Amino acid sequence: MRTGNWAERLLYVFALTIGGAISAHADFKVWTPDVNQSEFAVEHVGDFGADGDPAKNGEKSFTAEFEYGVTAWWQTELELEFERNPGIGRATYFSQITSENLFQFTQRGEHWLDAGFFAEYGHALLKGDPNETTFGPVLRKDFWGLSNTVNLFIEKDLGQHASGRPQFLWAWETRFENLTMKFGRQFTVTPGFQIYGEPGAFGHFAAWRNQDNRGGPQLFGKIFNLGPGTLEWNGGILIGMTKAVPVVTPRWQLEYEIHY
Amino acid sequence: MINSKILASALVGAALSSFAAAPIARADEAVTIVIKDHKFVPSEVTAHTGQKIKITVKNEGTSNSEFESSDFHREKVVTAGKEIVLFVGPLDAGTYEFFDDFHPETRGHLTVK
Repeated sequence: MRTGNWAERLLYVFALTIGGAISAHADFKVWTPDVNQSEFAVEHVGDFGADGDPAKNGEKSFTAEFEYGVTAWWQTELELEFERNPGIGRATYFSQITSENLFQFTQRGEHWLDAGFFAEYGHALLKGDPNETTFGPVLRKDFWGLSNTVNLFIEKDLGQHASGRPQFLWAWETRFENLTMKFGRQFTVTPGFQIYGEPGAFGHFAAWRNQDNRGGPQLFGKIFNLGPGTLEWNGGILIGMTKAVPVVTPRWQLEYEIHY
Repeated sequence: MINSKILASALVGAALSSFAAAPIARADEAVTIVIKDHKFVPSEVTAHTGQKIKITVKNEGTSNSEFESSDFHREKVVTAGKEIVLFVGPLDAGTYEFFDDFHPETRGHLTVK
């Protein structure tokens, strides 16, 4: 479905306005096992891949998301995803609507490890694309002033266009919380990094050179009392670790939590 | 090259072991803070270094609040009439500010000695 009718254009502009640039691969987001009951937030995640090779240049994806903490342990999000594949002459499509759900099992710092679980169902909007489900544990361990989170996910195609085996996806995030900088009462910034990996299907991992592995420095911050809410943001660049992916992928995530 | 079957097993094992092998939660100290009339009561609390601290926050107001601290990295919405529990520490000696993100003038401090 190309960005044609007025509703799609409105959503496209919403995501574009927040993100500034059209971007790719909306999965560059690390989930942490934190649910806030009754919290309502709107979110935008985006990225774009840049490479001197035209065949790898220009991938973009961005999302518009609406999040709500239903209970003390369950948060749900509705995600609208727009994507552009790399290459010359590609178009950006409204590609998928996804129901994302995060479950928090332990309070942060209560046990040796903070634990949660993620599960999503994505309904494809492009003809010939499969629906999908992605799920897996979300784990965090804080020590020495560092907050370390790992997502270990399985992604499986569903429906008549489903193909292949389940895929393994992983992501790692470290925040150097002991280096958090505060600027008055309104701004905080914390340095860190993220790494994302897609080695391939279970039982058939691709050779390293063909895997989608990217990582790089990120900043994590908050702007308190920005209008009727707080803006939580993070962003940086991901360096391609293999020849199969763009040399550099800037990415960002903006979550505006509305106080009511 | 990592065997994908081993990796899949490790993935499941990591998830299960995080629940099964963790020691039973225990806090060494407990602190209770009440939110009332957009104030923390008490607004100044103390704890000791080397201790895990259980903080109970009770919202006795009529509007939602969000207990948050950039110093000990915790945030939790506390809906009106409800309470939440947070675990922090062990913390080094010092003074750590906390605030209500929904009502930013509502602030307090945790002093760790």
